[in-house]
Amino acid sequence: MAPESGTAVSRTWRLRVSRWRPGDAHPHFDDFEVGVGADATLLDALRRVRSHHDRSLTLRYSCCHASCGTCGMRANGREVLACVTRLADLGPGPILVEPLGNARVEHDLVVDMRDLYVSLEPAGRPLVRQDSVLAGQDETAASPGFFRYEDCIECGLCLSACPVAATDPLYLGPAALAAAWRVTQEPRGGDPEPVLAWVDDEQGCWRCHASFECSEACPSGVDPAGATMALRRELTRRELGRLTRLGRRAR
Amino acid sequence: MTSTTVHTRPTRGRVRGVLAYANLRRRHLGSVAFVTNRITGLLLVGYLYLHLGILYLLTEGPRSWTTVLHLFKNPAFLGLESLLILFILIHGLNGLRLALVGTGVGVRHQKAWFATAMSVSGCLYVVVVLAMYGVI
Repeated sequence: MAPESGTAVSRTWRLRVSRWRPGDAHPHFDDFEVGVGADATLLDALRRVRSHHDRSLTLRYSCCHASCGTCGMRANGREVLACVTRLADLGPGPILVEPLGNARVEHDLVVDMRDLYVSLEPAGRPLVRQDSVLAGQDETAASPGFFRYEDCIECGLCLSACPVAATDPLYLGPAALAAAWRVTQEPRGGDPEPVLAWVDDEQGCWRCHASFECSEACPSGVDPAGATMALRRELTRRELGRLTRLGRRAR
Repeated sequence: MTSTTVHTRPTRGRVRGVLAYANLRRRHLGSVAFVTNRITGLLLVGYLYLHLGILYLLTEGPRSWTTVLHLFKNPAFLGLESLLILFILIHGLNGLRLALVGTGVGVRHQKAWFATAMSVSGCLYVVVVLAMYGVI
């Protein structure tokens, strides 16, 4: 058969895909040998599996160009967006394909993202209107992180890579903390104080153990670990300021 | 298609937590630093209890204490002691890195901080070992 995508040169790849459906006692791995173009992506190969080998394979994808963040999964143990991950970059194989970690698996490679979305809500995430950017305002001068944090596509890769999220289900997680820092930097008329109070908690920015895996995994360069450290710096600065004022009053 | 190995899906709980905590498979330098600090920290806590146990021998009289001092002079024991110093150096300097990075200082250079901390630890360890064995 002709390769589904990429160049005309076809190559056979071996995928070892994690399978689990509700009712199964345990998940298991299924092996597939797929012929796709030499520059095909992991998503191309998985779609090939669905169309030619096993139509019951469940995966989630939409835009196919790293904008929607729906095709997050782990390939050979690392968090990736399947749509922009070339098979050639994953080694000779077999390529181990697993669902994201630190989330409940719903079916095969699909995980429940509600925890992530719920964790983002308290940050508020004000919308940035295009007209305000086009109005000639120098947004970046006022806030260097403005565009950077807008890049979050809510894919959940950072949460999957986080070792603290794996040990503590109550931890807010890197995506929520990055959103909180984004709101603090660019409140858009909102009040950032409740957001700072929200993250100033043992399950908030202080729970992070600085392994920086979230920033390594982020496909959009959001740098959630940097945002978490920035929140700590801001909270420390405020606390030191408060103590200084108290000291002055005492004198 | 071939159905192959069965694996156990991790569940939220202690086993998963501890495994995830120390799992360095396909992880980056930040995780290596993260796990290194935990392991050296646990070893130092273990040493603290050992130290207290040895101090307890003081209450058993001069004879038992002399036996312990004799053991301390054994070259093999000196080797273990030098490892203790290595763990202290690694934990201390990596801890300093964490304190700086954790309050927003040099966050973008956290890998360089770690490499520096480990390099300085290694150099100081060599000096300590040479001094312990009377080379310098």
